[in-house]
Amino acid sequence: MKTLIPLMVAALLFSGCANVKPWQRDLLAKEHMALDSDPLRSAFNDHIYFSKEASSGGRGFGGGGCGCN
Amino acid sequence: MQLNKRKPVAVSLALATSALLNQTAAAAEDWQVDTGLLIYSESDSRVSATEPVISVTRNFADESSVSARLTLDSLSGASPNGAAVAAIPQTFTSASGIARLQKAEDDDDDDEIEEYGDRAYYVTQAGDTPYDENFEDNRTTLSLSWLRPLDNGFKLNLGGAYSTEGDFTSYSINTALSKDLAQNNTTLSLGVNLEFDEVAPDSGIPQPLTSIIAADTASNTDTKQVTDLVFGITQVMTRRWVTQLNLSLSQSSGHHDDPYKFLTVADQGNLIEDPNDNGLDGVTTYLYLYEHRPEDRQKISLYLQNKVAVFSNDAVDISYRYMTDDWGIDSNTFDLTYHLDVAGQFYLEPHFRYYEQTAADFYTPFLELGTDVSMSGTEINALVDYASADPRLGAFSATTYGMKVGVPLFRSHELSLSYEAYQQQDKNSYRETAAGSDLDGQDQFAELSANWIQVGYSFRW
Repeated sequence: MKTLIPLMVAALLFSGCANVKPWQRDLLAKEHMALDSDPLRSAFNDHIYFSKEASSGGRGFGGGGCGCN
Repeated sequence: MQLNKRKPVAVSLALATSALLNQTAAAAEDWQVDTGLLIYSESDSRVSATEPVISVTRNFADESSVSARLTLDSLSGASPNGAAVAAIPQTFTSASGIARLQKAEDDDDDDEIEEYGDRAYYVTQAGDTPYDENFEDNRTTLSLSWLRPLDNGFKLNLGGAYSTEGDFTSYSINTALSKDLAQNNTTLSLGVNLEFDEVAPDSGIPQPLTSIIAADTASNTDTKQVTDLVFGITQVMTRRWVTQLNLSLSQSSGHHDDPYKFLTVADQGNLIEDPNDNGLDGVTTYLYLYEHRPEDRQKISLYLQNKVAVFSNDAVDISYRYMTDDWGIDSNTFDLTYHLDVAGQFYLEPHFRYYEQTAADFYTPFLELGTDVSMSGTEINALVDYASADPRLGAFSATTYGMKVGVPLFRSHELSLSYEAYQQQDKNSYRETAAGSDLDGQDQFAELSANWIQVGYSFRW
């Protein structure tokens, strides 16, 4: 439960944000504005860092599915 | 990807919030194909890898989608074996080399005997980092994913992955549920991933913290299970700004040892002859013990990403990740990418990443006789519960500089090329050794330097 608290606080903070209307999403709609705009490249990089460092995940699941770490 | 097609609002939000679900929604029924090739190499002839990947996604009109990704990975080269750098030459027996030689002899295969005859033993010269040169593996990974919108703004994602290589097999299944709120300005997500891994080295699972010459095996195979939980919030902050906050919890239980890594045992900084040495004639074989890591590992990480539109076609992407685990490792990762549109013809993405981690509590560049290991005759006992000299568990920082060029081609086709250069810096405190001893003044951490090129080609139809 403790771990949920920061997220609930963040949700409350975010809920006070400016309400962006659907017709104002012209910039956010661009493909390069996707949070992960190049999933293949992200996967390559995540796999390299997973193999060479002690951290993984963050953006998504931290698993690696390989014997390299 | 920068496709010129303008997308409806509902889709744009799905795009912006789909990172956790690892999916890209589409406006109408179509296929999306992403292909890539990674060419990776490390300096000092360490590991090099070639990795082709293809991902195919079928998008349906109801915004559901199915995707499959196949990755092939071919690796070879040298990997640090964990032994300390010394001022004298060191001869190592290679467990995998011996196992393969043994098999070749059993099979009476002359070609294999010739190939592996030289690999069963290898020598590291004075002052050089000891590498096991026999590292070679091929990996195949297949992952599948299904995304489906439900009622009331919910979306469900189901996925799974299978990965196999010579000595390792991994299976995982995952599910994620997300909910759009506040006129699609907020998305809450919850994801679970379950992974099951099996490790099966040719030479068996070594008995931890025992001499590599004794070659005692604990078993032929061992397993571990990993459970990951990810809670996420994605928030549209302004017309130009979207942010994501993820909290991840990970629990890993089972076998974490690297079966190919060991540690030097030193006496006042000098290498010790292994009392069990019955190997090579005329060659001194020193004492090295197989590493051992705890059976459980819990990790918590917090990830914050901000994506901000600049001008009408540029964007800046800034992210930060903090990770802490119960092995004593804390890490900070800072990542910055700028998307620069060049006259609507192509784009550039300069990239910078900084990473730093503290060492695991049981990380040590070598073991000291008396404090860490006791020896009486041929009897060797570890006085520590866990120990590893794997550089990945040491303290270091690392910087990556990269550049990507993307060229949109005809009708939703895009070609991209990127280059990244990675350099580690040692941040471990130096473990003192006696003046004039074998280990005195030698490097205690092998800093990794690597670079890689990625070529990508994507299209829709």
